[in-house]
Amino acid sequence: MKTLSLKLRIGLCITAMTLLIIIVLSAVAYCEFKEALVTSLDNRLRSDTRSVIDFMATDETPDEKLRVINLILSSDTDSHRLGYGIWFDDENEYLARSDSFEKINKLLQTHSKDVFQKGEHTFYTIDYEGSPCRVIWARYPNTLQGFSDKSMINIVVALSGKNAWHEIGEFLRLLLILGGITLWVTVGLVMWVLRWGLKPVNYIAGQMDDISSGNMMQLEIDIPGSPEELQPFVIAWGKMLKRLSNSMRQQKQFTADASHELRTPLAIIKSTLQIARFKKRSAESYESAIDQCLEDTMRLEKLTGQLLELARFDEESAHLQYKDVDLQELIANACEQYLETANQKKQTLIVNTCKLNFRCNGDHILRAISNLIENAIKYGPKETDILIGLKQSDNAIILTIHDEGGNISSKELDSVFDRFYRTDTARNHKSGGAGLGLAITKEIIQRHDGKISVKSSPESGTDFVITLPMSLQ
Amino acid sequence: MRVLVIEDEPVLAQNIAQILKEGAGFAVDVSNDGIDGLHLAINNPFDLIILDLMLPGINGMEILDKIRNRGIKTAVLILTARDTSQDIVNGLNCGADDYLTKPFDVGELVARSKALVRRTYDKPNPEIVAGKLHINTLTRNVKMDGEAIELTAMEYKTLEYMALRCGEVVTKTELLEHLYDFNWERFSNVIEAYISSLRRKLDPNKTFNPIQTIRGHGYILKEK
Repeated sequence: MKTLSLKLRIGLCITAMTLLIIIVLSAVAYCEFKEALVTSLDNRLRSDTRSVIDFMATDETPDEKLRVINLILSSDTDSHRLGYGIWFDDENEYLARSDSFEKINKLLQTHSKDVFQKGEHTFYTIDYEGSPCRVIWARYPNTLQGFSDKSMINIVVALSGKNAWHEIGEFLRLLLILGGITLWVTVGLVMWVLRWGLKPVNYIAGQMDDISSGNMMQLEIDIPGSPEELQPFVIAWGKMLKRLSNSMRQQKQFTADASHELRTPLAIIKSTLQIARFKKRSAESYESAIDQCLEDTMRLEKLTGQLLELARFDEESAHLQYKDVDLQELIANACEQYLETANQKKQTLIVNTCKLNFRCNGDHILRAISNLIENAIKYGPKETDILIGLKQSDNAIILTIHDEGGNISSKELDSVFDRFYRTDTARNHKSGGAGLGLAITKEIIQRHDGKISVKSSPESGTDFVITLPMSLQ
Repeated sequence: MRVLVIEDEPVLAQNIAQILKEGAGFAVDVSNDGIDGLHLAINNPFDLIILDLMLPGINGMEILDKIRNRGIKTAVLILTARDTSQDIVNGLNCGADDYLTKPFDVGELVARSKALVRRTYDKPNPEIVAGKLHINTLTRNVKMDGEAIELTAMEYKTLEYMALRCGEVVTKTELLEHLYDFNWERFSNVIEAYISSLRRKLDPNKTFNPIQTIRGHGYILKEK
């Protein structure tokens, strides 16, 4: 099913409500009007009956009375009176009646006859020759002299409701016309108001349309005169754009860094080879050219490996390769790899660990620890100690690596885990590495739901602390 | 011609210097960081600056900005790993004269550098003609009145610089500054020696007298 537009939804809602109100109001007005019309008919019937009864109580002779009553009831100024009949209880003879009364009486028979109490009357609505007709049936104590043996007298008078019902029909038609007009005006007004109300939304949509990856960063989100209901939306939208542009900037920076790191060794290799070919040279200079090319090829190899490693983290489902690993053994293995490098700088690796099994991806954790040890050897001064500690506290494994080099400034501490970050800010590779080691380490630790932090000062050296949750399994 | 190479990667900087020395016969100064490079660029009359963008200390673009704001007109060739057209546009709009991306071709770097220097001295034709003197700056062949003349490397460099500025007075200091890099001891009598040996080789019979001495100022290579 096609989804309706917001405008249409709100419009339909308001239209339906208006329609409902119109119907209810019309129904109430209709009922009230009908009631009033019927009441006015009834009042006339009641006054007719009253005048008959009043006249019966006068001193005239019974014949005279009946003559006058016949006269009263048949004198019909507006010919609305359809008929009448007057008779005593238990008497088949009518005291007085009109020609049409038989028919009215027959119609009355179809209604259940109420048992009247003394001096009461009832109203009926009957269908007389296709048009509605209001009838009063009154039953009163007999006041007609000369018929003293009869106790109760019945008086029936029928009035045509034709005109009244016609007026009701007219009124109904008027209601329908007025209701229709109101409905259309409401629909138009609602549509106009909605269009006006949704203008800020359209404006936002227009602005959104203008956003491209290029201008995202310069774009200021500001909707002039936007209603306060839209403010949270506008603010949230601005924040989202900022986050997006931030991550895009990081991505751009990463690409720029990666291309710099890949192209620089390539440029060295290419230019070294081209210089070697430029003219005949001594054997030594060829040899040094080859050495240079080899060195930069290895640098490229390492960098490519690290980049691939970072890229693979995203596609690997590392949990599948989780095994119970003895961290003590793992650290011993990592230290063994770097023993020679440390010896060259006359550094001592001091390991203080305990036996600890941890469910993890062993290769990854080994890489993370190795990166930190390599870093410690690289940045730690000659002839100092490098401390590697492993302990368990509560539900966490705490792994620490300490070196005596304290050359990371507090400003730089935040960025050491960024990809391609190097503390010397120089992009040359004298100290080796492209600045991906710590980024990879952080990625690995985070994948094991752990945390890594660093503290550094010239007095106390640099401490890397890894916290891994035991409850991971 | 004297060139400044600002490049943080020492091996690459050395390679570029060697290429420009061997391929173009330029005197090359190398700086491995931005602040030092900016200082050198401001205080020395270079004919060309080869600039990397990602530098420690100060960004290449900032260096370019500072150089241009000080009114230094030296040609600048940006040599960088950044290769998007946006980077190239930014670099050129910032006042660079040319843009080359890494990894570059050695021959291309030399050709572009030479072209930029020729343009600096308003001599776009690689063959310079001054009267009966013909100098091909690509093959480094010198002919006087149709006759080939053998010159040493330093003699040629001196002649080339004077030919690029032929018709103008060139002082000894200018010759020293443009022909030698920072590491050389400079003595003005070296220039005098080159000039006299050039005169001897170009005009053994003293008929044309192509190089005139302006006493107290310097030398002029005659235009006609």
